[in-house]
Amino acid sequence: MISEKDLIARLSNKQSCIVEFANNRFLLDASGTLFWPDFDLLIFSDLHFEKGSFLSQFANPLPRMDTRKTLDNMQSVLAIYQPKCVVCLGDSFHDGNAISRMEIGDIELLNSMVNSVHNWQWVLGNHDPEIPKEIAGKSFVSLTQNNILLVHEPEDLKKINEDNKNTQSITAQIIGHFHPKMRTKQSGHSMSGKCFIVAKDVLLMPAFGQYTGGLSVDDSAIKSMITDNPAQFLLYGQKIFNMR
Amino acid sequence: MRPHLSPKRVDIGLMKSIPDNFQRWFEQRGWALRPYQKKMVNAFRKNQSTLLIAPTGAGKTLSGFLPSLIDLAQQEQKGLHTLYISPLKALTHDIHRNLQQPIDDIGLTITVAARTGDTTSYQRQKQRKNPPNILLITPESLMLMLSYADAPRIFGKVKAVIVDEAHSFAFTKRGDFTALALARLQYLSPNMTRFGLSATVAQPASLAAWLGVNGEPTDVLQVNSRVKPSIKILTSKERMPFGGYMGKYAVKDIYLQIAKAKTTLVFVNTRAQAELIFQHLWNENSQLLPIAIYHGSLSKEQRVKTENMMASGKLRAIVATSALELGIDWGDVDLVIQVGAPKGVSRLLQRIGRSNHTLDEPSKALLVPANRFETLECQSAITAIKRNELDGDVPMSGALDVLPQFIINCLCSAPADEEQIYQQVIEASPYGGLDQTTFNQLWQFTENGGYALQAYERYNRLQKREDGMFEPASKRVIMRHRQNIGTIVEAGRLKVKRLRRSHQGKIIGEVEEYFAQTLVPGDTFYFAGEVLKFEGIKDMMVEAKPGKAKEPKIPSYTGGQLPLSTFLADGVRELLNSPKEWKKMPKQVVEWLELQRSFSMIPSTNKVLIEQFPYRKTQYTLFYTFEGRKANQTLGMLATRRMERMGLKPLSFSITDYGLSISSIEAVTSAHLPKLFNPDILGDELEDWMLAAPMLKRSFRRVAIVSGLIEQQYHSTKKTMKQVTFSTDLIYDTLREHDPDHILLRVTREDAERELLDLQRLADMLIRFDQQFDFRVLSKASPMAIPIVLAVKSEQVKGQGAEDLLEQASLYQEAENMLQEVKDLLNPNGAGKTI
Repeated sequence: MISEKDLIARLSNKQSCIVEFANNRFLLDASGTLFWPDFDLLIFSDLHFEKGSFLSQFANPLPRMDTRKTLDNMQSVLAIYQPKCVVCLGDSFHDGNAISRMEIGDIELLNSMVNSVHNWQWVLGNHDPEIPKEIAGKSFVSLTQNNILLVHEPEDLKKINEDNKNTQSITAQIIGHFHPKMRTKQSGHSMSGKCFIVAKDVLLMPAFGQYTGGLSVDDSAIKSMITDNPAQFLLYGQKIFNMR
Repeated sequence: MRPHLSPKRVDIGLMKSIPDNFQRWFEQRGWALRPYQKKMVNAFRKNQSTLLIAPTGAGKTLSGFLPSLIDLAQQEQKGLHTLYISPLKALTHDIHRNLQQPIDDIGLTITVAARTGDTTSYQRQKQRKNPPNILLITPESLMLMLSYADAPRIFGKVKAVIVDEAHSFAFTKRGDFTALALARLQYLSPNMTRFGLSATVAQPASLAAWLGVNGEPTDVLQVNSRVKPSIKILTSKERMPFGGYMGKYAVKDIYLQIAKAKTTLVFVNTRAQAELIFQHLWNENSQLLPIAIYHGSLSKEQRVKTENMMASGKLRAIVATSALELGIDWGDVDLVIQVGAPKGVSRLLQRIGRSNHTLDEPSKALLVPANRFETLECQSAITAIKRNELDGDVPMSGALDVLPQFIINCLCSAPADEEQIYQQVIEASPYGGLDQTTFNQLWQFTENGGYALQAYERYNRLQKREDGMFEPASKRVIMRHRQNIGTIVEAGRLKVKRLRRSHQGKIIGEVEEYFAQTLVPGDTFYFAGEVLKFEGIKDMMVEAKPGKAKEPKIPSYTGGQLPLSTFLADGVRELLNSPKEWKKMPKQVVEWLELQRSFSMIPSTNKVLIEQFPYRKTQYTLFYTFEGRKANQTLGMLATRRMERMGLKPLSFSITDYGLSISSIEAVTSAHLPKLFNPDILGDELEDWMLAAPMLKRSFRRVAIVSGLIEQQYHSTKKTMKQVTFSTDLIYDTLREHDPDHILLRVTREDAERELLDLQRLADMLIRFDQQFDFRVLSKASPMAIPIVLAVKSEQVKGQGAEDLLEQASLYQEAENMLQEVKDLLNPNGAGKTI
């Protein structure tokens, strides 16, 4: 777990901020990750490993260095938070054959990362309905912690609660999938970047992968999911800003 | 194509060089064969490539075709004889119409066809199977045809190629592209004669070198205009604004001029301006004069309709952008009105040339400056034209990102090796100086991406055959290449559908994606000359209904901006420092200059004026350099970097030909200036800073598309520009970090130098004016600063300033207050829980 001193530094440098979501406290990090102190848990979303080589197959001679870059970025965040648990919230691998195109060195690096953490869990996404057997860690369709569901695409919480009457009722979910992005104008200057969206019962995570595009927060796909006026946290430079 | 109506007697001595039936045709029309037309016929017979430079109305296009028509008439031939390359689709259609006339009149059996992006696939097939004698084509369509295996059969016997309006694109990336296509044509048909047709240019020799093989200049035939155009600045009683680029204030006066003239062309600088001026003209249109609008974003049907109405004399005026600038023959235009600054002497002449399509009468033109600063530019342009001074593009070495496209194009047609293609490339004049190493790197990139780290054979775009020749690795490579040919990278566009009921309606044109995203249902905007109410975006189409509104939005088009000529800037500085000349300009402008003199000062010739003032909650610093757009752009990049280091928190900068304006959070003071306006800003970190700047990322996006790194179009679904922009920025960052020596990064740097930067001119200026500046701290923007501060586009600076702005707007707890919360967080109840 991150030390108190490091956390205060990070908070005052605007590299991280505290947010209350569904009666739980979280740290939103400028790297695009979410830290849940109650469980010493760090969440990554939408890593999209080997997206570069996937596109290369279609005669785009793209530089295929995105996986290495994503892994490097993950390592730096892990070094800061030193979490006991990690969850990757789906779409970790860009496609079913990603592993066959991944360089041996990258596979080794990923596995050593997974093994260095006490509990590493893969949540499955639409791009990766299964996690390659060469990769360590356990995989799940979704996870539940306290009253919160961790899942790639949004679920109908009402229905889940009806189906599981015995367990604690789920009141909110943390999801990936949408790669939210926002634009803001301040004194005539426009700034844009990836963002977190924190609504009453849903928290949307930005995509972490190097070659990931973004969907505007104003897009109907995102808007239709949110009933209240959500807070938006813009990632800009190395910092995070609450733009509500 | 209208040969000049000459009052002179037909010169029989000259007529001998053309066959009797042609001679009769000329006589019937009362036309004279001009000496240069005869020279063109002889040049063709001697296989002597030639550049014909003549003003509009000189029968230039007929001169280009005459040799081919005669040759084809004298000996009937099968297959392609002459290729006519035009930069504009519309031009090929117009030429087709006009070329058919002499062919029919004389009774020749010459076949002519046009081929552009609009040609149906049935027609294309037909043209390939059975090529016409004369093919009218755009550079992109030509390159596409050259990519087929039957290219040697189709083009093998081409005797002449005519490049029309060569001046308008020779020294651009598209010109490089065309030069490569010409090199390939010459390879397929070694005896081909090259003809270039051009308006008057500043440096005919460079254009002739561009046209020639291997940089060897072609012959030049120069025809001079006998009369100078009559150009005046329109004087309006209305108040002329300090800033703004629309020229709305003068609409009443423009309308009165249209009502007085027979037919008027109203040229504007942007499509947005076209929509606005058109709308306001109709508000004034008490006589219900037929006035139309024409710009590149309107649908093809709309444009063709307007063209036909104009050709048949049904219109009194057209409000048009540069889309109408080139060669199309409009018949009886007797007045050209230029609204907004002309932005360049050559461009202004080209536009004025649209009026009075004959050689012997002066063209008439009126200039309508949109703001007071522009009056200075208009006056300088008039002076330059009087003195016969022209500005022009400067030839540059060929753009490297075009080469991977050319390599694949050649290999799609026939397998070849590196050396064979290299030899063809260096035949094209812009690439004469290309070294083998650079070419090999580009070949490597084409083959497999050319990355230092990876080489997976299965992703190669080219494969080596057993005989050592290379060919495309798959059908997909070929298809993808053919769908992405060209050098024009456009902003993402969405079609506009004008709804009648439910989702039924007609496509009336396109707006940029960026603009469409700013609309919410119910918003109104001007488009195709009417007010539309936005309903929504469906299937990549903007759906809108006719509506009414007091202040509709105007679509903005980033690509619609005219590039500025650096030439006029000098003229403006000169004019400012000759108060005697001021009286030539409207009184309002003189008042404005006097206001500037008393509020701040008039920029002098031996010092750079720097003004500082607060505006819109931030601080502005203005540098009046008069060094042109590119040098100002470079200064903007470097000065903001230095300001960032000095803690001034720069936010953005915008440029004009005349100056640079930087906005920042902290004010620049006289203590900062010696370090800020100093030659040492060109120091050692320049390279690194440049590569990190957002502008270079834009260059990289263009380079990535043109070189085929990513596609603009695939499976005929256009990838939206938003997706492209996003991924190229990331690719760029990845490359810089992991493969900094990659050839595309070098290409990007060179592209930026071509398009954006002028280091030499900036360096000269900084040395010349080292510590030579007048600094004025003002309470608000000076009269002269307003148009610059209001410049449409600004470059954002990603740094401390932007973060400060976000910080002001964001909700943050103080770090001290957070301490308890942090402790709670790290020592929660039941700490150590794991999942």
